[in-house]
Amino acid sequence: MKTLTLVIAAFLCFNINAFAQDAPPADTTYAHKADEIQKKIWGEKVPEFEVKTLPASMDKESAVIIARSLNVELSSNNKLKMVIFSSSTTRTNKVSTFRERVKINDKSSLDAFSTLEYQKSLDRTKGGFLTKYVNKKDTYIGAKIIKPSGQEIMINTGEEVLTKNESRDKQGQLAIPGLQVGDILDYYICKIELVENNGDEDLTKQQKDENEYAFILADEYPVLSYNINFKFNSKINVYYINANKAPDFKITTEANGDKTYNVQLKDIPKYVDKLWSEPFRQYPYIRISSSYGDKFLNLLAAGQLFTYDKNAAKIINAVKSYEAQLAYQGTDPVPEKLLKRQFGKEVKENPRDTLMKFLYDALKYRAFCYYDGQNLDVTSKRGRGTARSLYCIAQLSHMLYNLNIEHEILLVAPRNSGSLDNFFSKGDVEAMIRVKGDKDVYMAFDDVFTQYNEIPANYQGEEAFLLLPQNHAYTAFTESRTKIAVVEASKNYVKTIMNVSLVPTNMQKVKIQRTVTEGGFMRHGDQQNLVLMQNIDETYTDMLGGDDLTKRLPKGVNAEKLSTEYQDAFEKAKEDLPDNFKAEIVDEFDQEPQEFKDFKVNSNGLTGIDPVFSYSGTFVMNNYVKKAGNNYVFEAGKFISTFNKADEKERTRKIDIYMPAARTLTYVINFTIPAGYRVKGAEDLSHNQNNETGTFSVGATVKGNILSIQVNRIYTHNFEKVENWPKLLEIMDSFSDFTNQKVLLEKI
Amino acid sequence: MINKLLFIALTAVSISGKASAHTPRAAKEKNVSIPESKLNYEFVFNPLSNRVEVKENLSTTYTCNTYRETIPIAQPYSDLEVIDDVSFKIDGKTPRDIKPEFTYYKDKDIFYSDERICAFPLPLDKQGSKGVVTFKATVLDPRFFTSIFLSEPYLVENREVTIKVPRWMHVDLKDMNFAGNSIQRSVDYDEKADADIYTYSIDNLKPEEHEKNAPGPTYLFPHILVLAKSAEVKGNTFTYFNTLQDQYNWCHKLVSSVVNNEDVLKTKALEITKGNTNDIDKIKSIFYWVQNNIHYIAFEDGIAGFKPEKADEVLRKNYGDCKGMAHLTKALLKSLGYDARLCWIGTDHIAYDYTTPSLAVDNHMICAVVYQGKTYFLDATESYLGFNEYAERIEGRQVLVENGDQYLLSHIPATTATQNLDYEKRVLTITGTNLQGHVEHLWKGEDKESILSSLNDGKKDESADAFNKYLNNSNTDYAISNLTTSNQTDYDHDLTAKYDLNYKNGVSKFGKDYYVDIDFRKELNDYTMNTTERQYDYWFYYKYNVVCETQLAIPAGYQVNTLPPDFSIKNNNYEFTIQYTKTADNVTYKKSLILKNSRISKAQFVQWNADIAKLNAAYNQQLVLTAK
Repeated sequence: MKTLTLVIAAFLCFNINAFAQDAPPADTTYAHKADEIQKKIWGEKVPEFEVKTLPASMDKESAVIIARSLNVELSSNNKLKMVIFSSSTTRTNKVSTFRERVKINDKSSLDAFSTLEYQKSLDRTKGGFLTKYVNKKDTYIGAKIIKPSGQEIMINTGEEVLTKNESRDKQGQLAIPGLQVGDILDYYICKIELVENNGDEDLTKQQKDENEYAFILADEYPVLSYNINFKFNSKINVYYINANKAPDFKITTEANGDKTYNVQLKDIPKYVDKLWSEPFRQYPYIRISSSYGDKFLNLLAAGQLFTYDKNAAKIINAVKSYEAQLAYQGTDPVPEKLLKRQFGKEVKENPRDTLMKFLYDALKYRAFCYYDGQNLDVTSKRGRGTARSLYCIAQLSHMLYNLNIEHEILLVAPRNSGSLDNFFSKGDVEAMIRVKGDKDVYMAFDDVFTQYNEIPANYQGEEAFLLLPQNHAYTAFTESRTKIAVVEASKNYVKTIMNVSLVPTNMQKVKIQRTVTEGGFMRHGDQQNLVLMQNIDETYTDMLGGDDLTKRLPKGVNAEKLSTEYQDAFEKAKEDLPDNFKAEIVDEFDQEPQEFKDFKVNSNGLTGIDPVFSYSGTFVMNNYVKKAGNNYVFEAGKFISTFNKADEKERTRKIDIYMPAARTLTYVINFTIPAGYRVKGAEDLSHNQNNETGTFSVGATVKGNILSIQVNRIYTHNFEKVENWPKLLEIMDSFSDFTNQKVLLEKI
Repeated sequence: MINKLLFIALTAVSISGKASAHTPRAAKEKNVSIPESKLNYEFVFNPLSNRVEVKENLSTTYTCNTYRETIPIAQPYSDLEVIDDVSFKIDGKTPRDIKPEFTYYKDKDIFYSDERICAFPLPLDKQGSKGVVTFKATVLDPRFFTSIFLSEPYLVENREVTIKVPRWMHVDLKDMNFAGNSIQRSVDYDEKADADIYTYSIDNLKPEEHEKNAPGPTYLFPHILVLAKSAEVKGNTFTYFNTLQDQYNWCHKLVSSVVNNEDVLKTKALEITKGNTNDIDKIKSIFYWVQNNIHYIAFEDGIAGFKPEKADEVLRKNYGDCKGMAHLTKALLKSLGYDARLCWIGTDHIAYDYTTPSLAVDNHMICAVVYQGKTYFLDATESYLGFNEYAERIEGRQVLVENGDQYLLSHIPATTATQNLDYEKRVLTITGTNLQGHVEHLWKGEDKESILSSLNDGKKDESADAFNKYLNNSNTDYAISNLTTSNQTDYDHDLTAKYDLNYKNGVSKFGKDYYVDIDFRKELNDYTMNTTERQYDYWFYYKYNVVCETQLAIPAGYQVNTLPPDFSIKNNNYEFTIQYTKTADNVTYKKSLILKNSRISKAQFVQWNADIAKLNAAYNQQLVLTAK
């Protein structure tokens, strides 16, 4: 069940008794506990969970979440452990109870909600008598069905199947018996966890992730009521944010210092307008996290930044963590070594731009072309990996200061995460460097195809913290905010030139010799698929005077052998290339090419400023030419890709539009008119649609036996307010209409 | 049911730990191979349990030929095939950080409570690494030792299979799909053990490919079908499947042992058929009720999936697998006095039939009802398929019908393409450059099932939009209005739809001439087979039967300049025809695409592609209307 397993992954469940006492109850068998929990939950009279009827208007929905609640109780304390010496450990009790009441209205939701999967118990306790560290999780489930008549049927969870049944690891699955369309299902999942460790630093990534909760206030189904309740003991530091006008928690403090954070939400809508949207920008959401122990250490170690505070103090605290990283982080020796190798002892004699570019490329080389020896996947998948910008920028900043190059550090909130004002954890921001001058220069680390002075598309137009170190020890900064520029559409481009002719032996087929040239943001996707890791490795090694592959492998391995393996892996990855080229054509033309040949990358776009990525190939396509008596109908519009016009529902939009980038797509179609034919209708191809959101224009000319069609599609901005949706639709509709246009090849 | 075929599908299972690097299919064949493998099977008598068992000792060496790769290892087992031991070494050492996981096999969110796998990743860390994996297992009942597959997803350079059969054990070994492979078989007599040892030596067996729409593995891959007949040992006589009667006896005993709560079933049956006045309507009501109300969830518990759940339990739970649904259908019908029976059947996924008595022959259970001398087969797992309509996967198949102590061997009625139909009629006029008019659709058989499945299985608030997108091919210029359909919950009748159409720019105009692309859907357009890469036959899901008629009014003042030529291809497997007729006022386009045989063999690919090319060419003809 997708929904429920997602829920289980997102929301952990913990011990109800966390705050009552340390000593466990007399009978702690699983069955007894399950019974106790069931009585408690079903015994609670929560009005939202008593609803049995819904307005008729809700019948059209696949399912309706009548009520949902999440209750998390977390308590952490220090415990002494006697080994040879006594030592302090952290003991955390966590109880999480997720409950949902859902009306099933169709087969689709019946499928979705008819089975429960859960980790019934998991015991990862380590150590022996004196040194035991407990790590135990148990999950308890309960379900009941409310029939349309009002009859309640309690589900016997004993009908579960154990899909894994080891003494310390049990996984269960329950198919809800008797559930039908029209019923209401009310179920809960309660997890009780007891973990002992040496503080938050000892937590696994999964455990840390499970301490962070994010609630986007939109859902797959309408949610009528959602109650979120967190209770922490006084020793736990809590961090939360309510973003984009999400309701605030109501916080209460008990006499013993325990704090409760509660929010009651009503009428959460369904997700809408999925095209060109960013949920963390466009829907209200709440994020809450917690940590135990020294606050400052937690800030650094766990990446959690601050206690919630609506005023500017919060934002300043958020930046402190990175400033501290800048201070303590050392530098990797590889870029410096390459710099010296390239420029000798007189490094600083070289022009500043030359040095900056070299260092930037060297750091990228270090990030992408040094191999861990574990992952030999050097197919196109590797090209999609991204560098850790915070780490790389910290490195680069140190190196720039060593060369006395003053610079600014930008912490930007990329558009696929929350806005800068909703900064929650270090993972929400990326770092970039800006060097002021006659022309500002930017250096960012994203995928391997991001170049010197290129701003990643999802940073553009977004706000950033601007940190100007006051000294090279990074002990003081000037802090302000700035906005990242948006690269104009002409710099993010695709230009496709197609020389098209009819196949002489079958004039209903076209032969296309196609060259594609791409720049800026628009090259990344195709580079990821068509540029081999081997090309990247060789290009940068050559450009930077890098080491042989054997010296770019981890220490302690048989470098010669491993290097040979990588070389073999590079060779194997080449076998993917023909399929990748073909896939690109299928994606563009919506059909398989025939007689596909001469495909190659003309320019890999890996070096230089504003590099160009270019590739070409020749192939034959069907269905572009229709026979009509002695004449032919040439479907000129289809060459610029298929595009479905927005339907009625899609034409009404409620949220702003986050385009991937401002961009320009140009198509030049040079069609050789076959001998004995003339073109009719070329003049009707010309078109011009222009407004503040973009342009769609077509120009067509016939010179000799060549029909030339030039098509431009420009989206001027990377962001549009929803009020501009109709204007954007005009551009998109024009494009869609053109794809249906034809000319006649009339027999002379 | 123990199904060694699972192992073939399972090799794609993702296992926690190091995942194998993604490499293209061709690369996988070369990167990992099996230089050596010994699979030993021995029939033994276990005096403690007083039964014949089959001991398996399966050892396979994997080697990495170019660069490191981690491959998934998975061995199926169940209550009737237990794993006694598993061991593995990589380059002579046993990795400590890898623990075999014993878990339930999952496939597309349907889980089998009986089918399990022992799985773990095998990391071959460098070129030349060798991983040796050994499984020791015991099949507790020879009936469940049905097949030995010889091929793997990797090149098998050398494999030796030995089957030791004591003379007290009577078993037939049938060689399947050996042709074209280097597989030598020999038999030696071990006098000391008084046993025959069958040895199969396999060299350079090419890797298995898994292609979409390919026949099931029993058609394709070399394997040995093991037909356990009987045994006489230590004073015991064991009868397995000497004959089909033996197989029937065994299966029938299992299902007969299930005791239902007849009162509950009768009450329900009466409730379902309330208001029905004739028998056929009652039978239909029961059948459709089970289709509509019992959710398919595969819980194959007990005797490896041959024993159905109690019918009243299926009713209570509102879910079941094919056995449960068949059993419930039978029980409800019987409670009303109808002659309903259980039936065992192998779908077309399986190459064999009941001429080889074996549990490998069937993989499905349905119900039959005999009424006035005619037998109707009821497969409730085929949601939305009507009474007396049969899915491609079972049509024409042999079926073993319950008949008291004896069995009946029958066949599901063979269907032709006429059972199915996707029919569209459009009556159109030209207005400007738009095509306007009225459209009617009718769907029958598996076409109806397909449409209803999409309509009913998707979210109801998205269903109308989804249907619209299906009808207009996601082309919003093909604007549909006033759409009405017949009852989408009535599977007993054909499904129909009607709407008005305004197809913007549906015709092109050059000067005064109209150029009309009259076929909007162009089914099978470019549906070619890849003759260089595809290894196996191509099986369509069912026999398509597409008929499209478009009647286009000739605008006043116009005449037909060019009527495209008719087109026709007819052979034993398919018929494609396109016909144009004209009158003074109209042009009628009629297209018919019939797959008489849903299977296109590899030998037919070239012809098929040539015919599809001709069909394409016919689709790419336009009607031209010129001013008078």
